[in-house]
Formats: sequence, C-alpha cells, structure tokens
Amino acid sequence: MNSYAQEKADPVRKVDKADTVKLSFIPKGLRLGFDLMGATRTVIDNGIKELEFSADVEIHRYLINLEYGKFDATRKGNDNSIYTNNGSYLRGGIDINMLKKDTETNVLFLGVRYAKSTFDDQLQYGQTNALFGDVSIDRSNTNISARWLELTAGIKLHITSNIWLGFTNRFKFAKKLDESTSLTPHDIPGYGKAGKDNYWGFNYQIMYRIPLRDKK
Amino acid sequence: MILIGLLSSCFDDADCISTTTDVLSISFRKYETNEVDTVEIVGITLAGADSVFNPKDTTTFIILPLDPNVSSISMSFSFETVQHELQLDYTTTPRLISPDCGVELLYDNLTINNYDFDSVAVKTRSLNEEIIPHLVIYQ
Repeated sequence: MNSYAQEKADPVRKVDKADTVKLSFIPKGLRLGFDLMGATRTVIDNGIKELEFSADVEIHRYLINLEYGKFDATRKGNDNSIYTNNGSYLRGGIDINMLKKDTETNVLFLGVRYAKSTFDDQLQYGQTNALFGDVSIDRSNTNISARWLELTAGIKLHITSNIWLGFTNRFKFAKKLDESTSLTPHDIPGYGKAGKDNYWGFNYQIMYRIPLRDKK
Repeated sequence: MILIGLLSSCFDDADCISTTTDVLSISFRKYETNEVDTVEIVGITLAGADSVFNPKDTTTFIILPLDPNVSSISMSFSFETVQHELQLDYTTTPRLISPDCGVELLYDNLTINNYDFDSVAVKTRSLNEEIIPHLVIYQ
C-alpha cells in the first residue's frame, strides 16, 4: 500500500520541479548598447548631433528595453532661415526573442515601445514683403513634448566574448505633439519629421553584455 | 518590415507642396436674400500698407494680402457713396517645410474683431487655397 502511494506521488513532484527550472524568469544578463547610426550621422552631417544609448535585460525569452537619446540639429534653409532643435527622448518597451532554442546567444526579436520626447526649438527667418516691408520672424518653443508608439523588429548577434552587434527597425505611429501657435516644430528628437503621422527608424547598435547569473 | 524600413529611411526627401496662403479671399452677398452681390469698390486701404487696392469696377469677390508682422489688420472699404470698416485678428505660425523648400507661414484663428457692414461671416479659420472664400461680407 505504501509502495503504491509512493509511486503515484513521485511523478507529480518531478513534473513540478522540471517546470520551475525550464521557465526561469531570473534575469540572465544586462546588455548596454550604443547606436552607431546616430554617431555616423553626427560625423557626416555638420548640422546634426545624435547620440543614443540602450539597455536591455533578458528575462527568459523577453527583453525589457530602455533607450535614451540626445538630439541637436541646426538646419539652414535655402531662404536663409535657420531652424534649431535640441532635446532628448526616452523609450521603454518589451521585445520577445523568436529564437526559442537559442536564447543565450543570438536574438531575433519583435517588440513594442512607448516613447516620449522633450525639446526646445527656434526658427529665425527674414524676407522682404513687397507690400508690408521687411518681415522678421524669430519664434521658439520651450519644453515642448511629443509621445508615440513603436513596433520594433531586429536582431542581436553574438560576435565575441560579451560583445553583440545588432539592428533595430522601428515603425513609429500614434504620434501626439503638444500644440503650439508660436512655431510648428520641424523635428521631434527620436521620432523624425514632426509633419509625418508615422515614420520608419533604424538603429545599428554595438552592445556589451554583463551576465547576471552563471550558465548551468 | 525590416526591408521596408531600410528602404524608406533612404528616401526621406520632403515635398514642397503647401496649400497655405497669405491672401484672404472675401466674397460679397446680399444681406436679405443671401444671393451673390455685385459691388463697385472705389478702393481698399489696409493698415500697414501704403498702397490702395483698386479692384476692377464691379466685382463679387476680392483677395487681399495679410500683414505677416502683426496679428490684427484693419481694412477700409470705399464704395461709391459709403465707406465701411472691418478689423480682423489672426495668428501666424511659421514652419520650416524643409531646408530646400524653406519656410511657410500659416495664418490661423481668423476672427472678426470689428465691422460696420450688415454682417460678416468667417467661413474658415485657417487661410487655405483649397477652401475659399475665407470670409463673406453681407450688405
């Protein structure tokens, strides 16, 4: 009788234990990244300075993401106008690794982000109006903000040791921009052209991974 | 999605199409019947401008420029036997379309501040080439 009871109970205990190990939600690693696209743009285009840093924490097949960027632009128009924009942005969201069997090294992900940008901008412009004489415009916005959502897709490839390379492709949509009757912004840091209802973005990143628990 | 994003980020040129305008279109209608009114205007004076506008002898419709330097403009209409005044308030919001296309000014929040016509109606609060007239004067 005792032997039979023991045989019935054991399989149940074994299954419970196996599930706990398989679905471990303890963070595996923290990856810190730097966007090479923004850095390249900063070097190539004299009027643009764009730096973006990222961090993601791996929990099972999920990556919790936080991205922070700084943007500084000066655009000179053909009509002698000068537009300046400087601000920062923050994105947060989650990706899911589609590679079910290789969650320790490479990542092929799909995800979502919520993003918020805060910036100042200014437009200086002058022209001669045939009827009303010289027109001089100097308008600015201070601490204006925008919010939007993103669908993300990309890869993170393990190159060597703790170094990863990857890219993130972003479809940005549902943009909300603070209204301003002083000046209509041309750029939204982290988003792109303010006049577009949706936008595509691309990051090429180099990342360093700090392991948070030992491999078994 | 990845390919589309890569391709679209390479073709990010702005177009210079703009439907905003800096001229106000005004039509005239008869106050009692709402029919199109043909009027004979001797001259129109705009505050801030030295010129006097002389529309053709008889007309049902006129266009007038707005001053980009101010947010209110007074107009004086001289007819054969009478003179009328009209004062409009508005906002101007500049926008850089792109470095190649330059700056455009959006005239918005058009409101009637004062007038001595029988009636004046704002048909659209933003000056736009596609929606005209912007203003209707009834007399």
